[in-house]
Amino acid sequence: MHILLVDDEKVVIQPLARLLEKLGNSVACAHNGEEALLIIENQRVDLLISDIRMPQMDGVRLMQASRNLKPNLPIILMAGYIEDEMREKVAWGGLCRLLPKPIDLEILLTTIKEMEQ
Amino acid sequence: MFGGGWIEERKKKTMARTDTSSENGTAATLLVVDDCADNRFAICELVDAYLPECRVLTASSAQDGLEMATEHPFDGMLINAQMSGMDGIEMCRRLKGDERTAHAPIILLTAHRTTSMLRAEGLDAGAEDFIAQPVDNVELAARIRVILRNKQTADGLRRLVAERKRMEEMLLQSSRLIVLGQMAAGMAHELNQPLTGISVIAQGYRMLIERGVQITPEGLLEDSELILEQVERMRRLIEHLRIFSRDRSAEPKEETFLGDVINSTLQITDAQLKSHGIELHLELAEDLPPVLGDSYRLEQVLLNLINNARDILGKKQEQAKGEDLPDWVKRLHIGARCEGGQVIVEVEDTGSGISAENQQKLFQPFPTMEGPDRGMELGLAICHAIVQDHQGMLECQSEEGRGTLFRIALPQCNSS
Repeated sequence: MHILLVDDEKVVIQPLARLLEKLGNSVACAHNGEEALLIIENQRVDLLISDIRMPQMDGVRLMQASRNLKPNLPIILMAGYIEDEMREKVAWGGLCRLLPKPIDLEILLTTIKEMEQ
Repeated sequence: MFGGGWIEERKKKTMARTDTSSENGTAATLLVVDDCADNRFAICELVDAYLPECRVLTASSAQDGLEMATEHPFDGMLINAQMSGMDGIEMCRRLKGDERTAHAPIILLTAHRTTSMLRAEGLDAGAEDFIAQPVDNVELAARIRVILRNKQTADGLRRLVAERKRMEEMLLQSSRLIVLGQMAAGMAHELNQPLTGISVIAQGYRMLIERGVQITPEGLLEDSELILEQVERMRRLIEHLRIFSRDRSAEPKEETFLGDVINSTLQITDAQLKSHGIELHLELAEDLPPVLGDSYRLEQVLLNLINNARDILGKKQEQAKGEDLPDWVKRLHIGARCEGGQVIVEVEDTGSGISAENQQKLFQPFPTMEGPDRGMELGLAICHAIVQDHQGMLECQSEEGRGTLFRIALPQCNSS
């Protein structure tokens, strides 16, 4: 599976990327929304995993922008704290999931599997 | 007035009065210091006749007088300038040099005509008045009333200043808690990121082992480094918080580089600014001279200004109600430079600005503002107090709808 990881800090992205690779995925990393959109446009991406809080383009806006490029791309958003308002914003379509930080890997992997189908 | 027979006949009466003077609602207490009993007696008589509301205590030497003065607060003192032993001028000097007795006004008296030199010496020693013979009782009584009036006014002012100082101290105390509260959101993010990283690493290894995936020493080493880095990051954060939350108002000031203060403030606010989508523009002049200050309290000022800017920027976005604002950049500019012997720090945002009316009220110590600017007012009052405590200036320029600039100017420190 081709996974795109987006977070502005390497501390989250680096170990996660290494693990997902070890589990047999191909992983691309982006440090902000713009970089991520470029990759979505030009490479194969089966799943987008992004932090919600990022400078300039946040996770929600990245999700909206990626919808314009690839309407069926499944998305997992990670957030330090999840507000109800945020839930509403990402609820539509069923193609987007919200996971709290710190990430529970079991839940993440289960979610990835679910979205793969 | 220090005439011979005149005194004798009243001596008895006055001595009695001196002895029995006690707490009976008198308005003011005077101390008379003279090594000549007749003179003491004469003044007691005068007070009795012209200032019946006053109570009098007497001392027969400067040494005794000093002792009494430290034990009892006097509203005024009449001291013979030319006594044997320690003279009145030296006594005056000592009284004014002691915090406990400095506030009691003093009239120096002489029984003889004196030179202007001596009078000047007495006044320079701190006496409020110097009266040389001859002077009549009516005038001396009036002069005593003058120093009592002045004392009353000065006491009132001192009380006011003390009250004000006490309020400012309270404000600074509570301010730390307020700022800590403001920091909480940023702290949460700042701790969550390293925790997420470390947790992913640990969970990852557990998962790889469970699945029988081979673990390489290189990967382990790399992850260990990453964990240590993050632990250090959290340790710094906690250390910072610990120092920050202490009461710093009594700490001595030392040479402080404002560039360092700015960087260390940004360390805690950076994540929060990012998460609010605020573009940070930093412009620090090189070779900034140090200022004399307390870096943690100055950091408190900056933190407050940055949090304000964040709120004002958020307000502008709210006012736009989700619509895109063309040509608007959600930006925070922080600049530091040296200018005319001062180190200037500016914090400028592109937010909704502060109304002219509220700008007037910005630095008042207690909230008086109406509307949404009310919350930031207390924080700014604290900033103002801290900057003033550093002999500096804090000012604000703002245009509604355009943005706000806060400027801190602190005197550069030359002692290095």
